[in-house]
Amino acid sequence: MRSRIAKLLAVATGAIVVALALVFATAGRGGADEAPQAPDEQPQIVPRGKVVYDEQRCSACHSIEGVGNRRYPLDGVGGKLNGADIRKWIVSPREMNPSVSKRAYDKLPPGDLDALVAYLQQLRQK
Amino acid sequence: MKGILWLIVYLGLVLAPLVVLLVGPMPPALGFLPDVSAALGFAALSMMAVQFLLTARFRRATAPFGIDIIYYFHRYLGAVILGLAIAHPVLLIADNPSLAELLNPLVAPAHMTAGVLSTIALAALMATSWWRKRLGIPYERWRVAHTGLAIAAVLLALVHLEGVQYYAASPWKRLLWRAIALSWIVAAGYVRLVRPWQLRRRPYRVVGVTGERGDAWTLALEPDGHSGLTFQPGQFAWLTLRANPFQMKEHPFSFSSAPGLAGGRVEFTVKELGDFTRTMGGIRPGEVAYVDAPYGAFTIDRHDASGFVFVAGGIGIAPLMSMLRALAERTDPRPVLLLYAYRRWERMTFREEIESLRSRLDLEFVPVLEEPPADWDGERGWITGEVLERRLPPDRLSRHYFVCGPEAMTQAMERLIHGLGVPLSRIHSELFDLV
Repeated sequence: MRSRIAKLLAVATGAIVVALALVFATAGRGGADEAPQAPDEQPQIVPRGKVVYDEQRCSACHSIEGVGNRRYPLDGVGGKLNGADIRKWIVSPREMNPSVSKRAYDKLPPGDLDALVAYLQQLRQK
Repeated sequence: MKGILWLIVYLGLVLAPLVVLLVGPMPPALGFLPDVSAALGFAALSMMAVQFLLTARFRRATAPFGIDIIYYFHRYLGAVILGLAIAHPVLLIADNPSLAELLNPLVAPAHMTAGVLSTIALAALMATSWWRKRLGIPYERWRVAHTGLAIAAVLLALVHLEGVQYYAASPWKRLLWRAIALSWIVAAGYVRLVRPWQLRRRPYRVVGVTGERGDAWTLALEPDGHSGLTFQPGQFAWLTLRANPFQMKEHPFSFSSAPGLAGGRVEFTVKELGDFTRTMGGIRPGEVAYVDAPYGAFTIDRHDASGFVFVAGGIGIAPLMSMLRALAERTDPRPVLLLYAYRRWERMTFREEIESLRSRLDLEFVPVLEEPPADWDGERGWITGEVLERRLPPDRLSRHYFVCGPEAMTQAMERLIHGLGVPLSRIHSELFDLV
């Protein structure tokens, strides 16, 4: 009987935790939707972004659709990060994660940077 | 009431990191399944860490429940945590199958592999605990492995969290997570260093080792340079012999003596059953022992009873003996019925002393023998529903029942006694087969 009490307590705890996880995933997340910009606002600069991506040899460390270094895939990054964060990851990655060992691409011409960000933003999960 | 308070404290500790997730600015949502997954991951980590506290034997927190329930809670929670830890990647992969690649250590970043290894460590913890006996792992080796795997699982999960960041990315959340992790390390340090050190300062000496019927030994200890401890009859201690308290070689045993003996003397009666208990006969007077006690809620002193029924199976008599001796010391007038099951009469531990206690207590002693001698006219076989029906007194519904024996027997007794109409709140037992 005592082991049944213990089991009941454990199951109840698990249920509370799962319930809270569901609350976390559904409630209080209204602000999240505005973050990623609509990708089709800047269609003309996306192809330029792809060129910048190739010129800067981003594929040495990253992959898109399996092309490049699959250790750090960028597939779907546009659905996960907003433009400002993607920009920070490129220009000053240590601001996003102080312990990351990623080169800062802070010398890119502004137009190229915008294009690269736009290109990455339109990478959504299919 | 106090129990509920401690439950809330527990839930608070487990859920605090989840609440931290919900406050302050949050990065964009990842989608329903990934968010559930992330929350489950955080929960699994904090529950893992709080597991250390559950078995840290905080006397005040465990007293309302009885520490046996806490250990079993810890045990069942282990399964819950493993479930959460497995659900965490499964939900992510269900949402985006290409993420399955992150399970492959050859292509995944190191912190992803840390997460995988943490789950593997967790699974190994569970397997070695649930099936320790079947796997033939000695208790002491199991304890060392259990601690090592547990620390590895938590540290690897922390590496995973540090690497993934996302919901823990803002500087103050990272600080908070580090503070939470630090508090776990402090708690573990307290349990493994401070408490053993305190125990070491209060040593006991073995003053007697007496053979009892049925391959049992009674070990008598006296405090060495301090006043000893107080306990309630039926409670138990974690006993360390031939080791120092830092080595984690303590074993749980019930006191068999009454509390309050002269000179702070305490006695344990142990049957030769496992690796450790088999060495008991070789213990010599003068040896040092450490007693971490008292623990457990299995005691007559916590209930306002008009009379008692004790049901013992085998060496389960030890805590009941403590209660009988305490009742005799106190010249308690309340009636006691003792049903004591054993295989053979000549091996029945404490049988003479129980007989002699009948002159000092309102005690009815009913031995139940599986292999009775030819001229036996008492109860035979097991303690069945018929035996209970025949032997329980007319005031059976108002008495408090204390059952101690092998787990299968304890469960059967609880069921049978409850079936006779005795409320569960008057049937007390203890789980002593912890791992």
